[in-house]
Formats: sequence, structure tokens, C-alpha cells
Amino acid sequence: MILKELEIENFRLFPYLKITFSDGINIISGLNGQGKTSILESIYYLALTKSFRTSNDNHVISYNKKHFNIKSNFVSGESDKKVIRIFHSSSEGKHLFINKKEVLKFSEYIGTVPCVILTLDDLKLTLGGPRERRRFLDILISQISPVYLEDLKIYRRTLQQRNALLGKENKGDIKNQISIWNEKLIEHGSRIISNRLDFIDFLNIHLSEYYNKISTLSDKIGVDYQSSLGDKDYLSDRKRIPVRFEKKLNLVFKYEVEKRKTVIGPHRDDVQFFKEDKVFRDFCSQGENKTLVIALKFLEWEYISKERHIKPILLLDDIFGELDEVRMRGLLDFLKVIGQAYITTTMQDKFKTHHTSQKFVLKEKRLYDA
Amino acid sequence: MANPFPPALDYLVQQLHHLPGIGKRTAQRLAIFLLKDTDENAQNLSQAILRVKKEINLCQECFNITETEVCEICANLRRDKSTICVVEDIVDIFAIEKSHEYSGVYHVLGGVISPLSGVSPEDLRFSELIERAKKPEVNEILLALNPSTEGEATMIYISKLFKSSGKKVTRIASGIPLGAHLEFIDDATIGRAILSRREI
Repeated sequence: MILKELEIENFRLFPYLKITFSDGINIISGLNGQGKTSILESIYYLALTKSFRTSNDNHVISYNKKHFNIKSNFVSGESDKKVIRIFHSSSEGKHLFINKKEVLKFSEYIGTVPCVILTLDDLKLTLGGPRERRRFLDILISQISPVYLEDLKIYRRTLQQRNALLGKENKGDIKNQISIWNEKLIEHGSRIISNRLDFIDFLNIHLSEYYNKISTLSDKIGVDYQSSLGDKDYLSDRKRIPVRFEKKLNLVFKYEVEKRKTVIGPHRDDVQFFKEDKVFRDFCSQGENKTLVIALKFLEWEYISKERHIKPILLLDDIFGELDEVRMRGLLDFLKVIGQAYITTTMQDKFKTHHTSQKFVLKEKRLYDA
Repeated sequence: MANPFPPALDYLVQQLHHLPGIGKRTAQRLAIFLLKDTDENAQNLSQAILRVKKEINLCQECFNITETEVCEICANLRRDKSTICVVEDIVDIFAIEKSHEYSGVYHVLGGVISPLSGVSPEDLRFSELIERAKKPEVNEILLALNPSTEGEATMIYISKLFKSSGKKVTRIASGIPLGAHLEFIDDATIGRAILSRREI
């Protein structure tokens, strides 16, 4: 997917901005506070209909304005053209349009413009809590499979209902009633786990290779899906997940009644990384962590493009200041094969040696060719 | 800020606001419209409201609305009493009747199970359904609840209720709408339709 033209209105600092991009690497430089990240944010909106900086869409609207508008022209392949527009106002909410037709279901929209983003926040991916890692998996797989997004939606709703039931003062015939929610929890939860495992398998095949390309060393990096359902042997046979899920739910039933919430399922699962069979987060240096996160992001890109046959747009937000020469070179090597990418940086001179397609400088709410 | 409406008008606004789908603003507009309207129209409207409350009640069999003790559908001798179609609400009966494809009788549940909104099985008409289904002529329970998470869970609940009853429990299909082009159906719907395919 190639973003040709972007038009934003009342978006963050920008009353109005129209940019024509290059098909290759676009470097947006400028001092801090000029709105470099906001441009990436608007592209991220086109991909995932939300921001990576805030969960409140109203915060993105320019000060004292009532709405924002993002309009874009995409091409994919020779002839496939798409005009995508996102409108949001605090009174009317968010509206999505593809080729001037409104799309009402998110699951119908997500995946139209696949996208992978790498920001400094992503360094938490490996070192932070399990929530970050589940979010990573969920955003990634939702861009590949609309059924996964629906499964997530239904799973979360079922979880809420099930927890409400477990939280009731007067339990009544709770055993009977919990079983109806179990069925939905197992159906959708098992598919969620199964989809995540597919990606984890893909990671295990390629992670060492990508990691070493960036670090120029030769370490063995592994990854493991740590499921709250326990035992690993059921994981290899996806058909056994629902059976295992049901057994485990019956086992923890009393504990759940006591705890008043659902204690197993994909919402409690985690991903663990290993270097030479040792837990990565316990031993890794800052540099090694950066290498792993970059490798993960590129494999996210590879996985989406393999599954969808569309090259995702890559967004790199101000990460170059954090990288040494070796990792920087590794990253730039990847960019050669990656299709369209957007990079923000305060240090434009770092890119002088590298052949890039287009450079922009952001100054006083306007974008200039560098 | 002082309320600009005299108490009588404000009371009417409150009553209208109580209706589903009527916001405060709309309620005010409607109230002012009624105020300006003729006395006769106001009489007619208030009479009409009182009349439905007095003359219309719920069918003793299926809980559909009726002016008699038993609704038209239940009283109709040509309807097939061996199949009971379970629906959430009265409006769903109208939707199914419009299709002219169903000749059995109905059972209005009065909602779906939802612990979040405080609706448990005791709040719905399950025991009445079980009683009705005990009749030997009943052999199929057709579930036509909305395919929401709660609707699906309620259907699972009902299927469990009748598990050892010897009655057949079926559910209406969901998937690709009639006359639609596969090309234009969202992927999630197609995906689910494929997962729940059947032999022909």
C-alpha cells in the first residue's frame, strides 16, 4: 500500500496541511514540537482509526476547533486506487469513508491500510507488562484477519458478562449460568489463542536471523507463548485448545467464584523471549532490548505482508537518536526492501550517507522539501 | 440557570423524555408542539394512549400483544402448534411474520440473559416456555434471538434446558444476506458464514 497524498485539517497543530509523498522512504525532520509525530499519527489513524498517543480522539482535534479531517489517496499495485477519509468531531463521533462510501463496521475497515509503527514507547514491549505484548499481538493479527477482530470483540464482551456474573452477591445457580458464558469464552478464546500461536511459530523460525542481522552477532533468540491454560503439549495441536480450555475452566471454577473474576484465557496470556535459553528480560542490556524490538517490528511487517500480500506502511517515530551506528546500519538495510516508510527525526544529517527518496523539513506548521 | 418552562410543561417534557429514543431536546420540541396543537388532537393522543393500556394485554400463551386473552396467532387453528419460535421481543414477531415463511407459534422471552444489565434467567419467561413445551404436540423449539453475544448465550442456555427433553432445538441461520454479492460482504461475516457452513 502506497500513500500518495495526505491532507489533514484541524489535526493537532495543523489547521491545514497537504503533502505529496514519495513511494520510498520519507524523512520528516524538524525541531521538537513542530508536529513531526502528528503527521505519523494521522497516517496511523488511516490504518487503525485511532491514535498511538492517546485513547481520546477529541485530544487530537486542534485547539478551539470542532472536528478534524484526514483525507488520503492510496495506490496498491497498478490500478487499485483508494480515497480514504476519516472525520471526527466531538458531537458526531468518528466516521470512516472508503472511496466516498461510509464504512460502518470497524472489522470491515481495519486491514485496508496495514501499518507497522515503531516508537520509543515500543521499547516497553519486551520489558513492560504482559498487557503491552497482548496488545502487540492483537493489533498485528487484527490487521490480517477481520474474524480475529470480531473474535476479540465478542470475547471481551463475554468476559465482561462472565465477570459480572461471578461478581454478583447472590450467586444462585451460578454453576448452571456460568456454563453458557463458558461456551462463548471457549469458542472465541480458542481461536484467539490459535491465531496468536501461528504468529509465535513464525517468530520462532525467523527471530534469531533478524536479531543477528541487526546486532551483527550470532545469538539464538527464542520466543514462547505462555498460556494461562497451562501445559504446552496441547499447543501443537490447535484442535485440542477448546478441550483444554474447558477442562481448565472446570478446574478453576471454585477459585473464580472466590476471586469473582475470570482467571484464565487469552486475556491473561503472555509472551516470553529467550536468549540462549535464558529469559531475555532478566539478562538483556538496553542495546540488546532495542535490537529485539526492532527485529520484532520488522517481523510484524514481514508477517502482515506474507499473509495479506500487501506491503504495510512503516512508521518510525524518532528512534534514531536512541541507536548506535551498528543498529542504525542494520535498520537502514531493512528499509531498502520495505516499500513505503515514514521516519521522523531531529537529526537530518544522520541520513546523509544513505540514499533516500524524499526529505521534508517541518517548520512553523509548514512542510518544505529539504 | 432557571428553568424557563412552567411546571406543567416541564412535567410533559419529563414524561416524553422517558420514552425510548427521545432526548431532552426532542422532548422539549414535542412538548411545545403539543402545546400549540389543537385541543382535539391532544384529546385524541391522550385517549389513544389510555386505550392501548386498557384494551391491549399480553397473550396468555405466548406473551404477544392481543386484545383478547389469546393472540390471533395462537388462536389460529391453521398455525402449526408443534413448533415454538422463541423471540426476544414482540417486534421480532412482526419481523418474522412479514416473511410469511413461518407457520408455527411464538414465545416472547422478554429479553436476553445479561448479568451486566442485571438480567438473570429468573427475569425471563423460561419456566413458561418449559411448561408450554411439555405438551406432547410440541416437538421443535426454534430459536430466533439476535446473534449478539447475549443472544447467543441465551440460545445456549435454552438448548441446555431442553437437552434431555427429547424436543428438537434449532436456531435460525446467520450469514450472507439474500441478494448480496460475496464481493461486497465484509470479511468477518463471510468468515463466520464459512465457519458455520452446512451440507446441502
